[in-house]
Amino acid sequence: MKTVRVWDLPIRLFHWSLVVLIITAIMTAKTGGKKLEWHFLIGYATFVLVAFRILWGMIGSRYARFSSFLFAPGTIIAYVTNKDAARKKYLGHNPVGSLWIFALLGVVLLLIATGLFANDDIASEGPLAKFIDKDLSDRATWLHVQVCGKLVYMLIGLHVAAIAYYYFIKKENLVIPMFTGDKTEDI
Amino acid sequence: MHCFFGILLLLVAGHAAAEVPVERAVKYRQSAYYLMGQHMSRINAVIKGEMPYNKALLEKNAEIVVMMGGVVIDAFPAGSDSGATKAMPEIWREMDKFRQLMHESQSELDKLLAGVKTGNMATIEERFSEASKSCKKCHDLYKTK
Ligand code: HEC
Ligand code: HEM
Repeated sequence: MKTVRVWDLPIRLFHWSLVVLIITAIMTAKTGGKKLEWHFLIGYATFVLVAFRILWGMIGSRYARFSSFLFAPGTIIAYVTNKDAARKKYLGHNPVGSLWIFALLGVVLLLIATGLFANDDIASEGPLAKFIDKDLSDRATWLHVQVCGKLVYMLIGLHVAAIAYYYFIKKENLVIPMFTGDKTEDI
Repeated sequence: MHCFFGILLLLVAGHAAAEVPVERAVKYRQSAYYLMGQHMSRINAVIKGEMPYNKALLEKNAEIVVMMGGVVIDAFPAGSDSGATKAMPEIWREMDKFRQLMHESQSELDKLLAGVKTGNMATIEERFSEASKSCKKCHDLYKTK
């Protein structure tokens, strides 16, 4: 058994900050009213965080880099359909998990982009909504809430389900490494 | 003869907007809500400090919001649940509950106007917050995005 540092400190900080920001973003949006001002600030903070993650995906440590989890379609299909390919252990993101990462980053960026043009049909709107007409802003709101919002719930659900699957079926705890940064590797 | 019955029907229907074709009824209430939202936003801008405080202007904004609240009360005639509307069909199935929410909201708006008249910013902020919650409560239940 060998201990490997898989998640570097910036990745762990990114991960848990994103958890907090997404949860508080959803809570403030559900409350609405004055809390929507907080929702905007949380959205901007999330943008900074995701921008950092993209940078870190290019210059970070081994498992943080996008190049370490950019898999060819063939590899991804084999991972799902072929038992031998699936048995190979990935310390970082596996081929399917990597798809989730790209989906989440994409959806969060889309949330921010559409949020800037959204309105709450009460008394608040994103800072760019005043430059477009109301119908377009309503469509941005629809994308923000009904499309991207729902996708985020779905992605969170998949994420938690995958962690539960690993914990209960594959007997591997993925949560602790996200705190300590370390995984053990059989050699 | 047909014409006669037509006119009779219109007279019997008699309600404020009930005889208006569907798309006009929809446009009518959307316009009222649009104004309501615009003037709520202006009040919000003053609360946030983006616009200077001017008591007379703020009162005018609050008065328009209250007035529009009065306009929409009868703006959901039977059958106006189609076309370019974001009103959910549940409204017409649960008209009592819907009206209840409307009256609750209207009383929050009255309180907002009274608050604006005191000129006390803390009161205005609090009443504004309560009023917007009453809008959101109904939108979450009866308006699509
Ligand atoms: C009792 C329910 C109810 C309450 C209370 C309510 N609304 Fe609405 N609102 C609706 C419905 C239903 C629609 C959709 C109307 C349609 O599309 O036909 C709507 C639509 C709107 C719209 C969109 C209008 C457009 O451009 O099409 C705005 C803005 C709005 N409401 C603002 C407000 C504000 C501000 C308040 C509180 C001061 C408020 N509403 C309170 C039910 C409500
Ligand atoms: C982390 C990024 C974000 C997430 C996860 C997020 C999530 C959400 C969700 C789930 C809702 C719907 C709440 C409901 O069910 O009613 C919502 C509403 C809203 N969001 Fe965001 N959002 C984000 C960023 C932003 C940004 C950057 C802005 C604008 C600057 C913004 C503006 C809005 C507005 C105006 C609404 C109200 C829509 C309505 O209630 O009709 N959001 N957001």
